[in-house]
Amino acid sequence: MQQIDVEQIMNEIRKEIKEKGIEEQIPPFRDPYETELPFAIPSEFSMDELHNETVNAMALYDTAIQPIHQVSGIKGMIKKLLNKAAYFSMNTHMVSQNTFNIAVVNALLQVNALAEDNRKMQEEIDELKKELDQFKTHNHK
Amino acid sequence: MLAELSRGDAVSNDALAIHRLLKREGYDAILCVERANYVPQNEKIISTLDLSFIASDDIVLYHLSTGTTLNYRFGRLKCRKIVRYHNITPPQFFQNLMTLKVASSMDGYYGAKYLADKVDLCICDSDFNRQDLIRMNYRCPIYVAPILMAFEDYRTRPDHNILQMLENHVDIIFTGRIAPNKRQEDVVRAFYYYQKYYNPDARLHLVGNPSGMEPYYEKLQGYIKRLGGCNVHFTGHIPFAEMLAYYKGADLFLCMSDHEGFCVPLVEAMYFSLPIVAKDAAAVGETLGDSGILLKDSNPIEAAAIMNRIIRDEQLRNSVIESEKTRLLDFETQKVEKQILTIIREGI
Repeated sequence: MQQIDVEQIMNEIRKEIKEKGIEEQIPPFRDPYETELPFAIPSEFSMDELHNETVNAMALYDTAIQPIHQVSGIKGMIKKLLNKAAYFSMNTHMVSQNTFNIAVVNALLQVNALAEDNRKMQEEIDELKKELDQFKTHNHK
Repeated sequence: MLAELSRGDAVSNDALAIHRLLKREGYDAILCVERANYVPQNEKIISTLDLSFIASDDIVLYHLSTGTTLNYRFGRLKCRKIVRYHNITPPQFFQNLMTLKVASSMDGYYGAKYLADKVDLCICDSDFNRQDLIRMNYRCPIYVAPILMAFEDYRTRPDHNILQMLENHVDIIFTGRIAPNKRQEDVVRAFYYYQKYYNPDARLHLVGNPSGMEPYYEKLQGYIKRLGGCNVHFTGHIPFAEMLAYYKGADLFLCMSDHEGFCVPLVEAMYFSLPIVAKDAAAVGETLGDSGILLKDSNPIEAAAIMNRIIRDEQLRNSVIESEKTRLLDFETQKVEKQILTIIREGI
């Protein structure tokens, strides 16, 4: 079987492309506003991270449109009008979003409680391990 | 045991082939499935709804490839456990397109991590996958054995109409479900330049099921439209005979995937003596070995030029095909069967 020197072929091809003056001319597929994932699988559990995210979720759970009370001038009137129109069309969605958010916050609080229980249990296990070691050493003597 | 049994799916085919091998070798083997989209001929499928029949001296071989509660239920089984790891597509590939897919992929990773200290043995279909498990802190013995291909299925008659349609043109194909990690957009980009600078009559056939990936599929169609149509055809989900015809009638296989745990279509292309041009990413280079033409990156202009070279230069094309034939020997059914049996017999 004849060996294929891919690198040599590619070098020839690159030279050929340069000579022909072929350049990229089509738009990219990915949109410029595409972003990286806002989360990643953690390599290990972090109690602080859990607390922080729970607090964030608690602070931001309410996505409802807040009504504008104080109005002055034509700009204020327009703002109030737009606010009312948005409230009318978006309110049902906001209510279901908030219900979902509350469920997520409650679930996070449960996980926090579980993590706290685990921490206490770990402390107890460490204490019992220490006692067991002491007991073993004492018996050995 | 596996989460989903579907026709034409690489994981399902591997599971079925190993199941039949074990039965042939005298094992009292049972096929246990969470969701079966079809029932293979002469096979009995047992649902995973009730796993209480599994005894402590049983061996469960679990095909891990996706996010499902079965990952956790398998981990809790009190028996000897083997994981056949096919890889999980990382969630970032689905970002901005399919939030459900992101969740499922993350669930898959959590499931795989959960199983790290709960299994006795792992068989990965590539070293790339083995490295994945090592990163996830798997401490049990991890072996590598390629996907078990049922080549006898490929000897059936290809669809005549498709074969006829593929005559008198240069036809480039890529097979695989339409999915962001497969980077069909890069295949389209390379083909665009090939068509523009080397062969205006050429056609590209993207053979694969877009089901479940509709946002990406629509975006891809929109992109092709922006490029002026450029003779790109989506086949959608097609019968097996039609897929065989695409392999048999096409002139070149182009793969620009970013993430593949093994990439069965490469072996299929080798089987049908189709010259392969592929980007070196994830397990692609490993599966190709020294065969085909491996690109360092997804530069579409260079990909187009090498495609042209292979199609026009008969000597180069024959050398590429010869290299693939040699590599194909490593995936011979009997050879892989022997590997898998030895691992199971000696490892557990």
